Amino acid sequence: MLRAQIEECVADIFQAVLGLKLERGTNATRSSIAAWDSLKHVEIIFMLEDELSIEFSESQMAEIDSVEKLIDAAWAKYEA
Amino acid sequence: MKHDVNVIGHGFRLRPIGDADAEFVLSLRGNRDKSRYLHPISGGLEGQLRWLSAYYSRPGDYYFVVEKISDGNSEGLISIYDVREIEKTAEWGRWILVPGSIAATESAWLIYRVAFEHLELSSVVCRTVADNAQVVSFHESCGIRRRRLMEQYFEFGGVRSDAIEHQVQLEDWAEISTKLERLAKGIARRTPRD
Repeated sequence: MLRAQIEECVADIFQAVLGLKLERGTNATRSSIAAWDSLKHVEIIFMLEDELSIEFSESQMAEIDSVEKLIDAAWAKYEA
Repeated sequence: MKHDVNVIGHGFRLRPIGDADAEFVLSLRGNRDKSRYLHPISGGLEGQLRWLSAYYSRPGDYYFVVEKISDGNSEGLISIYDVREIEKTAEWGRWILVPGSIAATESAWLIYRVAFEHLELSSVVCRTVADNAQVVSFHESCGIRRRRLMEQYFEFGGVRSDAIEHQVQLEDWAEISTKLERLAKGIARRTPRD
């Protein structure tokens, strides 16, 4: 899978969970999106894990606070 | 009040607060960023111990520490209070977690379990400062549909703020519990008990 496909996957998940259309290249952060609350964060993480057959650690879940960090973390897991 | 309610979840548990937790309370509630939507505390450690002493004799008030099961570390604080035994209602709050904690979902699930399983209440409310958008969103993400605006409800430092009140009734609980527990189990896989 290419990184661009992961970006697309993340965009689809944000649309499904938050009802938010991510513009390509925008680095939205948790603090800038009110709807990206603690519960939605867990749902986003779980959906991405299911889609990519990866699993984030507890610390990674806590550290991911932006779209860019989510994509980077998913890409790193996927490539590993 | 002094109580012995302990609720064990999948990755986290709630246990009664004690004097030994006073410094932890100070460290959390002294964090201006984390505590800006809570009433300020004062008097340092002595003040906190005096507060706890008064709390121990306050009926219908259950204050908990959120603890991670795998290592016993304190991850936050949460309470259910204003328990009215005749009306079978209460309010929960005083909810604050250490930065980076992933206990939010499960701690909410556990406090609702206290409400509906231990205290056998019919309904429980949570009132959130309206500006605390992510916590307001959290309650709605739980599936809570009953909400109302309480204008000028809170006062912090002489400034009044609106509150959003979310209410869960017993008939709503099963569906909300299923959702929260499913997520709590998924989170707990990363915080193994052994």
